[in-house]
Amino acid sequence: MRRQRVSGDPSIWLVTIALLVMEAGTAAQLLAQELLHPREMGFTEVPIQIPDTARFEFRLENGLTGFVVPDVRIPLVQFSAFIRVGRGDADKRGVAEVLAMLLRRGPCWMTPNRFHEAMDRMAGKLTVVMTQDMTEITLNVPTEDVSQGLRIFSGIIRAPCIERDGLEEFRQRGVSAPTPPVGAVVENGSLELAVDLFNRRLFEGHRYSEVITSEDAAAITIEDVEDFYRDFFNPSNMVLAVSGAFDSYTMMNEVDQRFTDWEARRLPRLRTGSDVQTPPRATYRYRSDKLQTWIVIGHELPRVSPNDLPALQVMNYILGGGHFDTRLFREARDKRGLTNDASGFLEFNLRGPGTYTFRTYGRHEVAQQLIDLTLAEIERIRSELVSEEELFVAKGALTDGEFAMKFADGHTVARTFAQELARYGTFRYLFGYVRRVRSVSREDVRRAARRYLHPERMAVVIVGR
Amino acid sequence: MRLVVRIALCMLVASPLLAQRNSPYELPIREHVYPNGLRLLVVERPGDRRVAAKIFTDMGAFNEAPGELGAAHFLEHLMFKGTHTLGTTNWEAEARLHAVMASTEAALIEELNRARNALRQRGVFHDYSHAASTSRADSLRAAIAALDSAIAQYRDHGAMMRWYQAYGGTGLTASTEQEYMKFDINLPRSRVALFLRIEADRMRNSVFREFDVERMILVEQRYGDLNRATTPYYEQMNAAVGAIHPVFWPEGYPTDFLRYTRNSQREFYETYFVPNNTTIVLVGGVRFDAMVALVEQYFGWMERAPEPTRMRAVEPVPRAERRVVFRSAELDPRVEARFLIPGVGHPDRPLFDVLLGVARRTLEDELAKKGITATVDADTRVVHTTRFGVPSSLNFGIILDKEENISGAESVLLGVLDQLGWIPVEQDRLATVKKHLKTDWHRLALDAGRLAFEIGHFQTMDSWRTLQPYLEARDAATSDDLTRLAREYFVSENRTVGIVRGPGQSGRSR
Repeated sequence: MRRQRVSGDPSIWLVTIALLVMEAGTAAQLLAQELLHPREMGFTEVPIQIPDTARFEFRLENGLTGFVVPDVRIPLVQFSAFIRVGRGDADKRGVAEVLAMLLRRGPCWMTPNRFHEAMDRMAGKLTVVMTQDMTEITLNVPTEDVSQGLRIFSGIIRAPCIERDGLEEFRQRGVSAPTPPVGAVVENGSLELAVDLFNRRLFEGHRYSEVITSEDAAAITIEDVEDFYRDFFNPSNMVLAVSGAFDSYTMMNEVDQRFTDWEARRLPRLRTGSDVQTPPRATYRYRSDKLQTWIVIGHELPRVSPNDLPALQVMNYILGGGHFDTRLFREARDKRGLTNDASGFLEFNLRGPGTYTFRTYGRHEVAQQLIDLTLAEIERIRSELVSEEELFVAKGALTDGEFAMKFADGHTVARTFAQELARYGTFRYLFGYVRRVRSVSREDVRRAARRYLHPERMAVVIVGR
Repeated sequence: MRLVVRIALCMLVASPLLAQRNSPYELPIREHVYPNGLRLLVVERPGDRRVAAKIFTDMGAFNEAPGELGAAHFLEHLMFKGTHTLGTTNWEAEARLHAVMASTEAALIEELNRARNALRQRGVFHDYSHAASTSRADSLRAAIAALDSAIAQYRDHGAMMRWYQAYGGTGLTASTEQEYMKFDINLPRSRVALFLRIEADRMRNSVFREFDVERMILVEQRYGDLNRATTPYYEQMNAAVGAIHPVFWPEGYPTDFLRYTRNSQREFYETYFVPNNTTIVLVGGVRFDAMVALVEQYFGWMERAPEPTRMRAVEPVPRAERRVVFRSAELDPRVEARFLIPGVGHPDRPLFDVLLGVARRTLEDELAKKGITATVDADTRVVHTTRFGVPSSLNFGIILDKEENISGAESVLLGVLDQLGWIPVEQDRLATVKKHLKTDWHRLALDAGRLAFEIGHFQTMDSWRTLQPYLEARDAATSDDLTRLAREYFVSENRTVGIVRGPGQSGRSR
């Protein structure tokens, strides 16, 4: 059924409405009790207590550092390793990805099948996440399996199963699909695909490109993977986090036994990714036969000093930071009903460029409106000061909300400490974060917008019609 | 020992939440029911600096009518549009416009009712109707749009979110499923009053602003669902599994979204958002006694309302196998079998969680033995949810790489399910499945928000008191229990088979 649009004279309706309003009188329902405005509820500052790192920290003679944080509420134990190496550190494209895949196949003293059976019996959960400059291996097991879990966890780190059949499997399954030419029809249109196409364009030819061709895969040797592993999986190049229901002394002794004889090696060569810069604004369109159009707008994000981070995060929080009351969300969704989501994504890398993107989607006919609104809001935050209220909300959300959650329980404490030490080698930024966020001014926010947002050279990737 | 720096070995949290009690699932849930019927459930977690707070309303898609599917979900969206006290710069002026809006919309509804025969659906393929609208209806719609513009001048956007965020709220979400609507937040424990203040206001004073704009968000969300090739297939399967029960209905069609009215949404809201239909769940660093008093302050004044109308559908006993053949160019070939199973509160329901794990593993083994390359999906999902307080379905899907394997895979699938009714399950396998369920529960219970959800969800399905026995029953499941279930439920008249094939020769299947 097609709806017809009827255009009446709005002025007639405004007069009618005014008359009706006068007749209607006050229809406000009375509140059964007085509700104070949240601002007037007298909330005082919540002290954010960061536990003393020294209470949980250990260091072995071989340089391995970590945190053992007991949390006995639930009979689970979690082991994590944060290793200062990522995809961007490999000389040959794909070598790091092969290693990440092999780490998921367990230690070399078990066949992959036996490893999966053991994991199944323990109900263990293994995750391996590799970014451009960090690798995280996490194993979560029931407390009753803690010894076997630690044995397997240390085995994966110290002696992963780097074997040829794993490399063959990668050659079958790990190769990227070819990059479609601009204007091509793409299957399975989605926001993920639009982000992937954006990243492919931005990092084309760069060390941080995630595209692995079949030629790349064919050129990888098992020796490349072994060398990469040997260079970077080094006790002094990682930080452990151990948390859960255990006795700390016993756990510390077990960790010590599993890692103390691991020989220290020379510090690895850590790579730095060269800068990338997008050219003047360009639009890349791909056709997809779905019900919506997906849009990614953005450019590179240069390395951000931890000192600059608070103002940038406050700015992004106000503009598009992944919640329901950003400027983008309000303009595109609440006021106009154009999209279910419009958000900004800061994706950092520690030793090279990242991305700053704005992602949205909607029915095809509103796609251009979404692009225009996004760019207009980016211009606005660069040119105008944010309001005091926006600043107050963002600071509260980042400190009393997101930051406080990093210390919500023993697991998050261990993880936060280990991640921070692996990233920066110091706790200076962590301990100073709340103070620095609270001191961000409206001018700091505009400065961050001008420094990190450059709409004149944002690439616009459109997947849809 | 070559440890060079010792740790001080301090406990962050001293008391076990679950362990070292009579049952590994014992939860210290405390309940207070107020005279107006509001239920408060609290799990104290001493030492937690935060609290996960949720408010559940016992209503959802179950309470919708055909032609207005998705209305409960839409109500949730409208309840983010503010209240008399939040979201407006001048409520008195705005309220006068809303009163006019109500009478204008009433006139539109009257006109649509009058013109019912002109507007009724006639064609099967949505390709024919006498008229799309009437001139008076169009004129009233224009008036409504003008009123919306007039109301917009008083709008303060985002107020239902902003103060949660400003005061450290995280995980702000809401969701509406078949049996519940909930709003949730995680806050510093000293600010739990903010949750009560905002939710009491939302429950009594919601104002449905930007009604027509918000309809389009439902369209966007629905499009998002329909972009997944599995959605229309699953909807056809659900339609075949259940004969009449709304648990199997989809979240609404674009034609439904156009039919919601402020009037019907207001009726929905006023019927169900009453204290005797509401449960508040708090898990975290709060004290029960203090919370009883604080909740009283914000909700105690509300009067008990007439008991809201309940969903009355009773799914009839299935009498024959149903088969769905779905043609798709996008989906991989697959064969699926779905069976009606009981809802939470029935003694068999927890055992199905165990049977599901056992059957999935057995299916994987058998397919491998037959040399059929496939992925096995096994779940109890209907639309988005995996547990209900009413009969729903147990689903086994085999996703294949080749269409030619469909009939072989179907015979493996039906053979394995039949076999489970006669051959006892190996003890090792049973123990492994139970261990997975227990460990998954522990992972869930660690997270205050997820634990609060389970408590509230069980309350809306049956009772929060069912949760612990439910978990214990899974632990106690025996091989005989599973054999009995398989014999009783995996029968042809309780079975719906789904087959997905390629698109065939012509565009429309014959």
